[in-house]
Amino acid sequence: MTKICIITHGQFSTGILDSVDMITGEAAAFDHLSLTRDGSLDELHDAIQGCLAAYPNEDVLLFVDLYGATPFNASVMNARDCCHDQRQIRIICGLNLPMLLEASAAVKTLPLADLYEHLLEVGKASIVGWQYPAGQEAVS
Amino acid sequence: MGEIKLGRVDHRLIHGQVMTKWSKGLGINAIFIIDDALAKDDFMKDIFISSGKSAGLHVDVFSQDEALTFWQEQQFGDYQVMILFKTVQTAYDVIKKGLPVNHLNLGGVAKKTGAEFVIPSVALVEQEYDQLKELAAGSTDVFFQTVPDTPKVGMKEADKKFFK
Repeated sequence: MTKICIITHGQFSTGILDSVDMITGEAAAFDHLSLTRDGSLDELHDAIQGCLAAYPNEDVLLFVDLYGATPFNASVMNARDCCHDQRQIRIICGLNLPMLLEASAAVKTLPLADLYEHLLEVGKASIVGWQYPAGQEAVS
Repeated sequence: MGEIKLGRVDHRLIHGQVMTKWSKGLGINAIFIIDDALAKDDFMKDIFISSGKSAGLHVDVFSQDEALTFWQEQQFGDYQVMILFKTVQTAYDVIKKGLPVNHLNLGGVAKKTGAEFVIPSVALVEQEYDQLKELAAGSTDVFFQTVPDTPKVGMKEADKKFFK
């Protein structure tokens, strides 16, 4: 089964897992890492490396909060480090709760490539505007 | 003729703070990273260049020599530039070699053995302090600031930490 690791600025990663637990009633067995205020790119790179090394034969999906930021940069560097592995690493930026809720269920059945495509769709479709009295309006 | 609006020392280079805060309000249209190691790493160069595009900025990565040549021959074209350095040493070297950085922001320097914090995101060792002192004594305004919303701290605060 694909492994999932969440990497964010500060405590977002632990907070969003608590939210998943609150809604689904089961603590998703996802790894999570936080970039701290005084943390460096190299430290975060090494932490992700440690996480990936724990599953040398498993595909891994890395969720990061912000495209172009340090959690993303550190993830990309790790994906490159693993480019000769048999397994695959993919990254999704802009983590949100609907995406993670869906991931906690879909990871049990979908292989990484399908999971990745599916979660990108779910994430985008979950962003919805609403105004009274016009009602619901999909933004994306 | 291009212009260097700001130099910044930040070990994380382009990241959340730079993309969401510093890229706005300075009137810049480009970010140049000056770093000899990164200039040889085409993969990471592409990553930084494409993430800059999402903020509507032209991003390029130069070695020290490439940056100095680009400035001397073309004054950076028409680019209004923020320059990022990974280390104080690189900033010191290129400024001493003639790159006109009038404002140098210290935004992120990770703690090393024997380092003193000037602001929570910047810890300097004595050699870095001495280099910044030398730049500040020239025509460079040196200041410490993580993001534009936090207070600007001048060399005087650093002086207190390294008072001998």
